[in-house]
Amino acid sequence: MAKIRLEPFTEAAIPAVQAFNERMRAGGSEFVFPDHPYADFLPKLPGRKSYQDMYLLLEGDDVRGGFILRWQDFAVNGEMHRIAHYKLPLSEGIVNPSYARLGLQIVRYALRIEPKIFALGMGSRERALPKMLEAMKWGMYDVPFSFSVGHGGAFVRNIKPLRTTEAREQLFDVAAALGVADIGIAAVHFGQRLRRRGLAALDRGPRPAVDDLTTPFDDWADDLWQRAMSHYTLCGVRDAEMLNLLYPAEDLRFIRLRIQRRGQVLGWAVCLDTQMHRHKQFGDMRVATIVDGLALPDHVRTVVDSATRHLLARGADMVVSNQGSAAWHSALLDCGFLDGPSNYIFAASPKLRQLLEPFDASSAGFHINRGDGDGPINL
Amino acid sequence: MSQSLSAVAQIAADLFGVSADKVTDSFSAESTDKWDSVAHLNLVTAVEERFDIMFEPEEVDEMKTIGAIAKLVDEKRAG
Repeated sequence: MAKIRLEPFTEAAIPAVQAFNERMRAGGSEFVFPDHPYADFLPKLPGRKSYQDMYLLLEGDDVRGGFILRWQDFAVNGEMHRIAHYKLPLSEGIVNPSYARLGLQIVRYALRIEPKIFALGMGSRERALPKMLEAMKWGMYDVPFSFSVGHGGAFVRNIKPLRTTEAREQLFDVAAALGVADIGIAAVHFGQRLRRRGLAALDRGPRPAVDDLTTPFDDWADDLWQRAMSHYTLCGVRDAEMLNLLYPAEDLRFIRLRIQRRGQVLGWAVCLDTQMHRHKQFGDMRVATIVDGLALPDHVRTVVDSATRHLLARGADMVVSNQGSAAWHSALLDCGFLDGPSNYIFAASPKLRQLLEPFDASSAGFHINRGDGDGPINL
Repeated sequence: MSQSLSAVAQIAADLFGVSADKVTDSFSAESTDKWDSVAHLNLVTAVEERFDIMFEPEEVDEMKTIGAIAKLVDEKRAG
């Protein structure tokens, strides 16, 4: 048996990657590796600050595993650091126990390339990857998942995790037909706002203006980035250049909102509004997502409230968001959002964790959201 | 049995829930269903902690049996 070696993914390895994916599928793996070396999201192009590198673990000519590093600059306590998102580590060990050692090898190879890396998403703490990372003393943080329902009837008719028995399905369908679901869920959100804020207004001052942008992010976004970055312990660069790379104006899936009051930019939010079809959790609902955003902590609530109103007014059945920082999570709850079970886990390698110590205390300032993950997939 | 082999075998026996005398130097992922990627990581990190060493990814590749792990421990300790 040849020794395992690490190599960048090049065209020459495409057939071997395809064969690897076939073996993974045949073994029942739900994941496969991209079958070409040109990243669909953030490909490596000259002059680009953020891009993806793909690596393979080869045994002779056979691919036995691989992983992706997405490079990005982050502000850590106000200082810039080059950090990589450790994505899609895949090993043949998932389907063939004689390669069980590869999981650990892949992590160690990635750490050799860049000691400051993080993993994000991963499904649940019970899965193999987060278990491995936790055992390797990575810092683990569950990024909260919050949701707000606009159309109670559509929600109860579609939400799979709650429609677990026939009796529940019937009950929910009747509630939807009678309009009780709309009233009940509106009452739940109202109760949440009341618990969080009492009768105090969410916002002082006139209602802000919400611009649905059709042009690229500009100097105003750079200015906001400069003012906001030091308010978070960890925040991926969100200057105009980076925003135009992540959320280009020509990509019409993105709803790019700028929230202003009296000519002052309070913040921005990037959202999606997706009609689901037989989704494993959301059924056939129209689900809007607050993917990303930036504001000074004092303005986050206004930005979240404005974005949520905008998305519900477009006709979304519900609005969801994963927001890591206390400022954004609190703002969501203040706006009536409820927390659901999170499958979005942030794991910081030991070197990155060191930068973020005391990790648990500084996690309140981790401005981590879907914008730091795999890109606009599954949303 | 070398001191390293007996210590590594004991760690593996505890981890995989088998009696130490069953863990010979040829004991491998084929010997037990419990030797998956997470168990492999737990085995290697336990060995690293026990001997205060750190394995490189190329060394992890050689860790196909308990005997191979013990041999690597001996090599690392010998410097």
